[in-house]
Parts: sequence; C-alpha cells; structure tokens
Amino acid sequence: VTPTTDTFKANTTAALADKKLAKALAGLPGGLVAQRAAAYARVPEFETLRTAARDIRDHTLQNLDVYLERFAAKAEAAGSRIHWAADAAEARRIIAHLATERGTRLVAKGKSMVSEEIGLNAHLESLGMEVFESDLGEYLLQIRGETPSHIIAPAIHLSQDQVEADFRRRHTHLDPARNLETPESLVAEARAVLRARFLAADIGITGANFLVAETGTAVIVTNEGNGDLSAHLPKTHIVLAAIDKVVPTLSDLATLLRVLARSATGQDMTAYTTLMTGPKAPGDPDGPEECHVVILDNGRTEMLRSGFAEALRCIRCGACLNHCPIYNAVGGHAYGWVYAGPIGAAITPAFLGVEKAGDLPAASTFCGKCEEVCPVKIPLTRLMRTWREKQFSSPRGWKARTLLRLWAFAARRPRLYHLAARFPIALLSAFAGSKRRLTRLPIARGWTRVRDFPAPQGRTFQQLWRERQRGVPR
Amino acid sequence: MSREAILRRIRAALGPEKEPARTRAVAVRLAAPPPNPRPAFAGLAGAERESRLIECLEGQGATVITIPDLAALPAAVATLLGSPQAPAKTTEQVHDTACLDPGLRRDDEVGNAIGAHTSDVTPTEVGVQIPLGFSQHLTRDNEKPCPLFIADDARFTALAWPERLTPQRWTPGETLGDGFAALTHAEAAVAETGTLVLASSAVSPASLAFLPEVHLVAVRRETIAASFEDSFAALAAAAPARLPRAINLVSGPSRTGDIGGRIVKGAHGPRRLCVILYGPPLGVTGPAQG
Repeated sequence: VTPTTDTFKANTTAALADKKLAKALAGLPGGLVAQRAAAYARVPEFETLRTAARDIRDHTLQNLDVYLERFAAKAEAAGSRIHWAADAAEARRIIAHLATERGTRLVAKGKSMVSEEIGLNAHLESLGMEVFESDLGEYLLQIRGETPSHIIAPAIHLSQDQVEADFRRRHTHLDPARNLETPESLVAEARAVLRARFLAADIGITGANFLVAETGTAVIVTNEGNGDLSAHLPKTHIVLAAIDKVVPTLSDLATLLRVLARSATGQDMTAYTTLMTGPKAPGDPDGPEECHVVILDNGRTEMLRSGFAEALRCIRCGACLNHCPIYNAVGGHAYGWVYAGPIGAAITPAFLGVEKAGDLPAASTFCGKCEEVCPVKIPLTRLMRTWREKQFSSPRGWKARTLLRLWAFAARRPRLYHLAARFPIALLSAFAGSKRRLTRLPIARGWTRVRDFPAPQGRTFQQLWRERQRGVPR
Repeated sequence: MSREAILRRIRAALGPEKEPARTRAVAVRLAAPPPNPRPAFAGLAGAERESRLIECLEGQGATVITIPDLAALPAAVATLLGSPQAPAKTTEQVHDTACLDPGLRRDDEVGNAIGAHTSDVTPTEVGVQIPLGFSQHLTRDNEKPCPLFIADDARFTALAWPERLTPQRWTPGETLGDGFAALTHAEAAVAETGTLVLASSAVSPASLAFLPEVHLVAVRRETIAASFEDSFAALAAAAPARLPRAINLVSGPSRTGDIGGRIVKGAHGPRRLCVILYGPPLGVTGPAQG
C-alpha cells in the first residue's frame, strides 16, 4: 500500500465533502458506540478488568524477549514452525517462499491488519498466485481495490447499494435478475461464492489476535467463521503475527478476551474464538498438515526503545476509532495508511516516519475519549502529543516554529504586542457589521469557508485591563 | 538470522543487563500466575451458573434445550430439525426461545437511522417445537429433515436413531453447507458468556462446527464451567503436553455486520446454533474445576 499520510490535510478535506461517507459513518455512534456502552454497563467490574488487562500487556512487553522465546519453544514443541521477520520485506519473502515451495495457486486469507501492513496480497499476486480475502468486509474491499477503513469493520465506509452494484459487476456467473435487496441476500451470495474457494485453497493465511507463550497457541477472534475455514481446511496454515501479540498464559488470555469484544462490538464474546496449537495431531480427522508462525518486528522494537511501548499494548478492538470525533468525521481512508483513528495517529509515524505521517497526531481534539474507552488504557493523547513535539522540532515544523518565535518576540514586548494587536482588532470589529460576525476573511479562508468568524469586540486586552484598573465600567 | 536480530533489539530496548532478572520474573509468574480479577458473573455455581449459560446463549441467538440423558438425544435432534415423525414433547424442559438477540435488535435500529432498514427475515424467534426455518432448500420440503452429519463419535453412533434421521459419518473434504446439519459434542461450556468449548480430537473435527448450516452441540451439564479460567485450566490439565490442535470457543451462530452495519447470521459458518444440555444438573457447588 502506498501511504498517502503526507497529504493528510487534503485527504480530510476530500473526506468531509464525501456525502456517501458521511452517511455511512453516521451509524457509528448509535451502533458500535452504543453497543460498547451497553456491554460496559453489564460488567460492573469493567474498570478493574481494564487495569488488569493493561498490567498483563505491560508485563509482557517488559519481558518480551523471554516470552517470545517461550512462545517459539512451545509452538515448535507442538509441531509448528517459527519464522522470524525483521521487516515487511522479509515477512513477504518468507511467506512467498513457503507458498511457492508448495506449488500454491490459491490462498485463502483471513482478516489480518499486519498483512495489510506488509502488503502481502499484492506480493503473492505478483508471483502469480491468487489470493482471496474471506472476511466479508475485506472481500468487498478486494473487489473494489480498496484498503480497510476500520480495524474491525473494514468496509464501514460502504453502503449496501455499493455492495449490491459490486456483486452484480463481479459475480457475472449468477442470474442478473436475482434479488439482492437485503443484507441477508448479499451475505448469502458471498457465502456461496466463497465457500467453494475455501475448499480449493492450497494454503490458508490468518493473523493472530494473541500468541499464548505458556502453550505455544495462536488465537484468532472472529464473528463470521472465515478465519476458521481458512485455518482448518487448507493443508498448510500460516499465521502472521507481530511480536507484540504475545501474552503469558491462558489465564491472561481470559482477562483480555473479557475486554476485547465488549470494547469492539459490544458483544460479550465474538461468535468464534479459536485457539490453535500446532498442526493436525495424530488421529485428527481434519486440520492443516503444517502450521507456520511468522513473527514480525517491522519497527516495533524501535517503538519499544523510543518511548512508544504503551502503544504496543493495543489489542486492535477499534474502540478509539468509534469514539473519535475526527474519525467519525473523516473516516479511515483519510489517515492514509493501514491504521486509522487515534491508535493510527499514535503508531503510524513510528512506521512511516514523522516527516511522512507527522500530520496525523495533529488531527485530534484531545478530548481524551479514546483513552477513556481503551481496554488497555493506552495514553493515546500523550503519545500523540509526543509526536507533535517531534514534528515541531523536525524540519517540517519550520512554519510553526517561526510563527511561535515571532509571537514570543512580540509577547515579551508589551508595546509592540499592543500595536500589533490593536489595528487588526479595530479593523475586524469595524467590518463585522451589526451581526458582529465576519462571513469572509481573506487571511483565514479555511475558517470562513465553513463558518463565520466572530468579531472581536474592538479593544485589546491591554486597553481593557487599563480601563478596569481605572475603574471604568464596562 | 532475524531471530537473533529481533531478540537483540528487544534486549537493547529493555536493558540487556536485566535479562537474567526478566528470565526469573517470567519463570516466577508462569509457575505461580497472579489470580485474575473475575467479574461476579464468572463465579456462579449450580443452577445460577446454568441459567447464566442458557440466558447468554439465547441472547446470542442460539436455541437451547435440556434433556435428561443422551438416550433422549435422537428425539431432541428430530424436534430441532423439524422431523414430522418426532414426538411432540420429548424434552424434559424446553426453554423459551422468544428472546431476540439484543445485538440484532440494536442493529435494526441503526439500520433504521441510516435508512437501510429491511425486514428481519432471520426467524430467531421461532420456538423449538416448530421446525426451524432453515434456508429455502429445507423449508421447501418439510417432510424430510435435513441430512445430519456426525464424526466417528461413539457417544452418538451408539444411540438408537430413527431411520429418517440416521446420521451420516462426515469425512474430510465433504463440504456440507446450506441444507446440512452437523452434531458435535462440546468438551465443556463457559457460563459467563454463553460459550461452548469444542476441542478437536479423533472424534471431534474442528471443521464440523463451521461447515454445516445448522450446528447442533451436545453439552453434558456437569461440564458447565463458571469462567474461562476454570475451563482453560481443565483443558490444560487434560492435555499437559500439548493442547488439542483447535479449541473452538463458540458463542452463537456465525454473523457479520459488514454490510450496512446490520447484523446478519450465517456469514460463513452456521446460520443456526442449537445447544442440547443433558445429564444430571450441576451440583450446588459445581464440579471440581481447575
């Protein structure tokens, strides 16, 4: 995926003008947000669980080397093969090698954000393999050549009409006169089309929500069952997971599961949570003959080193996106890369560099709702502020630095400040008319294009202060 | 090699000199894990625990019935699959299933709000005495129950099945799908969230929980655990060397919200989940768990 994070401001302007997108996003507050609130209310102990979940994630990250080695040893003992990938290119190479070695033509993919991060599909396709996304949302995006706009609801920006049009365009082998008016009929069609493909797939690739060190187990959390069909049916199963997915024990997994689905969709549990330990055991009638786990770094060790370890607590529930006023206004694509919303703003600069993605952390009202709902209490606003500081002191921050220096120069010289403030204030006030509002302001068109500018009342603070000292009534 | 490079970078970030301390900390924590905070609803016993399981399962859109023992299973399955030959009342207790999935209701409201409302055609409200409205393949011919598949599980093969319902053995490669039902046996159930715990084994292939349109699951009532911790501990104790290849925690039928934000059942996996509880009820203190 070619990032468009560097044109973030233009992306958001375009997104705000997109009426279809606005309509699709309008369902978020009443949907996922309300459902999370209801789920939260059903668990009086939720705050205790959040604290415990945070502590588990912190403990694991603080001992990450030991837990990763423990996971690898246990998974190997269970018959899995472990591969380590330092970056995206190495992960692509490892998976491509495993696939070509096995003469793979068709790959069943479960939903995986990390696979988006490394651009896996495009790479396998460039080698002549066919890859099909099996999560319904991801399948819709694959048909359209788009990327996910939400961590757990990747096609949230699409309307039902768009899906119908895409299915008619794509599934040309089906009766053109068929009824596709309901979500049920669309889901049934996708189910039928994809079912045949699972059985033909040579390998299945899934992500992992968690890796359990104690048992060498990979865990996936889904609602559709596509991840399971991708994992249990093909002969070879490849799990692609980042180093931060590891948790110590099954008991820790229990705590994290208690907060994950409730924060994500408001379900107590998703329909399917699957714990996979190694390949098919002797006597098992089904399951993959081989199981591979690719453990990916891709910049995460650098986050651990440079003060962004807290962002690695993330369990990808998407709650911070749902509750973010910015995400609700611009959607996920405007963020320009794989991860959107507050967590996207907090981690994307680490992946792409502050020069390329430094504008993302600026897109926040700093209302703090994201960290209030985060199930692992990531200090998202602090992390975003840290990136803003970095951008400020980077070459890209020259404009802000120059303006602030000018302001500081004037602010230390009261007479100059007074002069500089007096004339614009008087001028603006004179032009404002009886409504005391300015509808057009040449130096601030970005503001007045969408709203009026309230007129200053006419005098500077210094003038007002002097009058007050003299006892002049206001 | 990247393994060493990655581990080296992690150690550099965490302090290479502290590695022995980390190794000790992990060993201590794995040997004696700190107790989890558990919600009160994850610590229920006896009848309360079972009620919680049933309530949660039904809330997710599953159908739950209770029978005295496995011998009553064929009749219960016949009822669930809508065979006309099935006796009308074979079950000791039939739970009211008129409990619409709360998630479904909420999403309908969302659908209304954004103008995407369509009538809910998923008949989650039907009681078990009425043949469940399966896909069109099944409802077209109510005379015949849909084909039922099982694995090579003696708990089921040993039962006396009515001729029209005789289950077939599933073999890998059979795709099942719409119009097919499968019956499996859960290892346990977790009351706190209404979750079935299926463990893959020679008699319990994981695929059977995902391939059919209707998934029937038998659960021995004494295996209902209060919490995930209890259930996981029992699984680990039963297989200390290696966990079953696949442990499927199933909480309701397959679903998706990917089209217009409305919940639709039967995305890839089963459209219907029917749970049959059997055996003596949980004691007041419950069985020894973990």
